[in-house]
Amino acid sequence: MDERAVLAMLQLADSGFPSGAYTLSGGLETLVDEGIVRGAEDIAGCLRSMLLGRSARGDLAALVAAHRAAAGDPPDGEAIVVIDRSLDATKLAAEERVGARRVGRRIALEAERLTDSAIVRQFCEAIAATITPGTAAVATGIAAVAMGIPEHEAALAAGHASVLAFLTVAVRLGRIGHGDQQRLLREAGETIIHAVDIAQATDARTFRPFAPGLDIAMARHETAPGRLFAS
Amino acid sequence: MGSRRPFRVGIGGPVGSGKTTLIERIVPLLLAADRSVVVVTNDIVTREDEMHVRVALDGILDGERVVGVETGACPHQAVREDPSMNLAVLAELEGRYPETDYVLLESGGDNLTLTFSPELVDESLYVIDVAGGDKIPRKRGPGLILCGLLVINKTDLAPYVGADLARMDRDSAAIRGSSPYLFTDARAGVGLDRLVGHLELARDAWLTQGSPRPGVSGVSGVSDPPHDHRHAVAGR
Repeated sequence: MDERAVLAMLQLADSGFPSGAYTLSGGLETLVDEGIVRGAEDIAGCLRSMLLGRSARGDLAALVAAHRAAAGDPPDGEAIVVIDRSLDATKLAAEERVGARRVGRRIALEAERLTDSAIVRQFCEAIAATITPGTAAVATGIAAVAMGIPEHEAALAAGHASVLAFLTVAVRLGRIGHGDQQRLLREAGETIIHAVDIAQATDARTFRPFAPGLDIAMARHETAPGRLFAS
Repeated sequence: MGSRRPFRVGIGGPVGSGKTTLIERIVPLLLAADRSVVVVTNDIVTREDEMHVRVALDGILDGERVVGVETGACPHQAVREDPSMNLAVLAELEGRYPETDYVLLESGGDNLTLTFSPELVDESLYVIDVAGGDKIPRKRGPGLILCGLLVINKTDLAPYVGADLARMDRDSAAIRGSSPYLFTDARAGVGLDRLVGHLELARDAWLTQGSPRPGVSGVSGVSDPPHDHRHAVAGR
């Protein structure tokens, strides 16, 4: 991969990239509060569900599909809207849906400021006009194209970023320390690669994320008394 | 900059210093001045502040104009390094209420280092209270030094906690330089007319020049203080 693309990938996947994703727990806060998730091994199980159950056939598959549509010559803006709406429709819990839209909007706006990409600008305009929901995964796929990051690497980086974000939530909730955080991140590597392989083989018309334990937790989070996180 | 969106005011300060009460008391004053207002609260653990503001302003401000943001255990990050979620909520609110003049954005309470991203707010208040200890101004946190207006609240409690207001006045003058500070008793409304006057001047300057302070850009540095803070102390 081109050196500039490597640097761009690091920038887009970095926890310092201003996307607001750190405010979302993806249901982990509720699972911890209700005593379902207690320690490092429980969290490793959640990560597998998140990556293989939800992301591989949901967010990561949409990222890949959006990347392909944005990288086409010419870019296919209509296909991106279809992908974005389809992914949004699979998000059953309101907090996941709203969170993904808010993060997606921010990623798109930052990418618009960082690049002069016409397809990013078009996507931002479609979000503002409420033509498309602007999910985080689709915004990331388009931003990756605008920043020169290839499809496979963009999906790997997004998988890595989602795992790191999840583990950081676990640290903030006091369930693991920094050592376990890094161990679980490294151990998740093979699962991330497997999830990306599935995502790249998933047809954009058949998103079917399935992680009911996490969906139910996010739905229950809406009325939870303690809320450090927005999902 | 300018008139395309509302004037955004960040309100930071330690837990319990009176940020929420301050908002509940200045919103009616802004409404009386024919200003349209929305409020965003950054709660740390619950939606307590959001609910408190809604109840306190019931019948005065439409509850839909008060929105809470969960900050993922990081109140600083949510208003400084990565204010994405606040910006997203502001975009939604400003789209829903395009006539809005003021956004009051309360940070989750935290320590004296809290500053606001200049890409999130146009002006910031930092609220401390005398019961937190009269040595606080001497601690020189960036929150106290860089804010547009330092508010020293709960002056009514000074005799009960042994806080020396004259010392706080001297220390505040020393750390603030030419930047303003103000003593208030928000619950009783003391000093709030001056606070609103400060906001109106800052907004006027922002509307005409794109900066809340004439001739100054960024978050620090202020020309003439818009008020006599000692008068507010005497007026307790």
